Amino acid sequence: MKKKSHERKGDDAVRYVAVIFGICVAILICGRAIVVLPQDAPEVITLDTLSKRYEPVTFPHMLHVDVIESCEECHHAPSGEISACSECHTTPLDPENRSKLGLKGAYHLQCVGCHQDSQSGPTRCADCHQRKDVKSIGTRKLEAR
Amino acid sequence: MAASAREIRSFRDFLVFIRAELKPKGKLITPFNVISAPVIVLGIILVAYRMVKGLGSVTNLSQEFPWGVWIGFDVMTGVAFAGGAYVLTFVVYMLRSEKYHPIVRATVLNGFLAYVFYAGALVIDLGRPWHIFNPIIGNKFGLYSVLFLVAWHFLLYMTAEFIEISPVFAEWLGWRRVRKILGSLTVGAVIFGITLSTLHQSGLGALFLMAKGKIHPLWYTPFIPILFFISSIFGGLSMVIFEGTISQRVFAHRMDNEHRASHEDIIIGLGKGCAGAMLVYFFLKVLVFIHGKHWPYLVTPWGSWYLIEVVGLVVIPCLLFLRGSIYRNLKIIRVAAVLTMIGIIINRLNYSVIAFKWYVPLPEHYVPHWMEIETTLAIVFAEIWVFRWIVNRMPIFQQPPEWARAVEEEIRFERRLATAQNERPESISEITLSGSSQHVPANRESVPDNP
Amino acid sequence: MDRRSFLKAVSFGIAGLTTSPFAATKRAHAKHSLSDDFVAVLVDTTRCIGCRSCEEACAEAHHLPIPDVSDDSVFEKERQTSTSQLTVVNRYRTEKGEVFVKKQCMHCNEPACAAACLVKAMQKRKEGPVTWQDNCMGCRICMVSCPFDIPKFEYHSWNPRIQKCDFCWERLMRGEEPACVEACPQEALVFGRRKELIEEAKRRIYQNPDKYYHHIYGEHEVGGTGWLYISAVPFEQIGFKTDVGTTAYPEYTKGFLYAVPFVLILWPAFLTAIRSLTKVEEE
Repeated sequence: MKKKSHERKGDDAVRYVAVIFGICVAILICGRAIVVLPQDAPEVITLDTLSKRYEPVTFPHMLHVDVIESCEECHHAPSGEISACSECHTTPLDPENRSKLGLKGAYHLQCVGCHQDSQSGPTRCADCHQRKDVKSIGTRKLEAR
Repeated sequence: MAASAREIRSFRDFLVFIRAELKPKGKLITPFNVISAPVIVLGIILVAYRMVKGLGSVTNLSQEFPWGVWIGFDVMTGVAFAGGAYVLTFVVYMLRSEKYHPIVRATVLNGFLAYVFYAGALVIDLGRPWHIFNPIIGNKFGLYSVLFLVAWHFLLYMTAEFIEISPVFAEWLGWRRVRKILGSLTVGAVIFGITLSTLHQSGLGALFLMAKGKIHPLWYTPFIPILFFISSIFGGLSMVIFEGTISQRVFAHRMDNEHRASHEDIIIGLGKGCAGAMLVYFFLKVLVFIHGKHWPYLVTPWGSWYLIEVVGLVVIPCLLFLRGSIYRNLKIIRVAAVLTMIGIIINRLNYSVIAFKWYVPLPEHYVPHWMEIETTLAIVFAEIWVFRWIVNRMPIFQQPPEWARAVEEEIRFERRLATAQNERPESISEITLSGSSQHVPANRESVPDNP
Repeated sequence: MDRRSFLKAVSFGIAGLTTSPFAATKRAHAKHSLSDDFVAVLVDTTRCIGCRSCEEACAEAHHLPIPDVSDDSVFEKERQTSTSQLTVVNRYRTEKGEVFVKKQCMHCNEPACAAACLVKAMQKRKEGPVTWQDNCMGCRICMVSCPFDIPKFEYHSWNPRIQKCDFCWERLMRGEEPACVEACPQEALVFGRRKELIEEAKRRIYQNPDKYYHHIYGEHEVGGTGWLYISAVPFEQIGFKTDVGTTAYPEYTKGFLYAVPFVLILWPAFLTAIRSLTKVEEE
């Protein structure tokens, strides 16, 4: 049986609303995937790229998220991106660009620096990472000149 | 006298001779022997201990004070006192002053022994004494180093001094040809010796030039080398006066009349020489003082210490020397000599340990260990023993034997002949041996008896 | 004048000349242009937290006893380097808070110790570091000459060495950084060529003028050193000698060394002349 015209208008309305609703949901989902919110942060990060002398550091990330208001305090990339330190700070440091710290320096100056300034948080080596039993010290090759 | 010295023809003869000479001449139990012998023995033991256990075991040297009494006194003061040798040989051989000829041999012998023994003191102060050959053999040559220069000059100077004193040994052994060769080398060795002395006496001072900031400004100056050189002149002459005074008493039995008679004039002359050198030194010190604008330091404790050294132990002895030589008062000259020597000791110690790191408070400042002082004494006594041994057997305080004087005449004759051949060939026939009634052919092997 | 004695005197003088350091003349000026390329370390004392990882790493690299870095009581007194510690960190209380300063050999451009050493046991390598070799006699003139009082002597050994930072010379030859630089967690120590590091230091001061005291210690002191320091406070407050001047220390002995060949030639000439002038002609 053919639909009456008012029934056809109702179908269109539902369709429109469904599309709009669908678009909104799509936007929300996509947008949500892009935007980082504090509750996304990992609970704990293990920093183990440099562990020759010391055991890997168990970094209580969520603790810092709760205490520090904005992500940019630590994630200070000029692009605004929230990324891991090692994305920009290399190991060994770049001798061509001495103003950018190497990874080890970046970790320590950032973390220990803030702990010192705010007078809270660990500042001694052993407070954060345990000594490994060091038999041989890892070496960092000099850049070829 | 040792007539047997004349007949050494074989090695066996030589051994017999040496054995005879090794027997002590004179009493064994004397106050000096009783005191010095145990000191020397203990010194040898302490040196052996130091070799095994390291420098820190017998010294109070530290990271703050790397040089102590062994360098400051034994080497630096000892070398300054040995300066009499080059001054006196200059006066006698360059200025040709016969007045001081009687004491040349004793002074040169003392100079030679001083360098040998103080080089020995240096060797025990080195951390690795067996490496002392390194700067000689070329492992390696530190050509920019003042100490390299000083080390080489020490070595060469000891050689020159040995050549200067070796005629005495040749006379002792009766070796005529050797005596002649050595006698002809004397003037060259003297010139070499005076040149080397100038450089290493000043060189010892130059060692401190890079210790700027560690030595108190009243003592540190770029002119340290010149001050060391000038002070070695009157330091050496004062030692000659001191040693000569003692020898007159102790070795009177080995002195001939010429030596005894000339003593007074010599002492007075040396006193004048000291006074002159000290005046020059004083003016240099004043110049350095004014140039450095050191007036504010005078009112500090260090200023007082400086005044004690310069006024009390340079100006006052200088005036005493002047007075003593004008009024022919030997006693005043001797007192002045002792004061001067104390002044030299204090001056060298100032540079090396006292005014060195003057800002380090006294409790942490270097103070010599008794073992350092003991070994220093042992070295001094050992040197006196050797000096005494030589004086008792060889013509130091007396005229050389007749045959040796004849050899000297031959050397002089041949020189004049050579000069005449160069300058005035026609006048050769006019040249005769002056004052000698004996004609001694140049190649005669046997020698007349010693009178 | 007697020809024989004249010739003898002059030949003695010339013989003496062979030991004179004429070579000293060509030494000094060449170094200034070379110093740009010397290896160097920039020490940023504003970054140092006194963790003493550098002391540990140095001890490990040189097979020396490893210090207990958890013991903070060592900071109560100003420490010197020693025969078993080639580098130490000292703490200073200043108006800007606690400052930690690492102390070790400065590896001067023109080292006093290398000039003083008569056997070249102390040697400035052409790459920059100042190292000690085994032909040393133990005379300790390097200790007397060093403006920073760095060389330390093993007084209790029968075969003593001089101990001081050697810029991890053996590691450098293998292409590695000095152990202390590698160990520093705060990047307070940066290794590179001297010229670049001076520029980096100037950049840091320029970009943070309130953070730093406007001086690079070691840029000109004693003619320039291989270890360069920047600080938040004036350097005399953190244990540095600020009165060492900018003259390279070997310059102080130059005057004397230059006089040597002149004395060696002139003295024999004058002395022979005097002897000849005082000669009494005998007939």
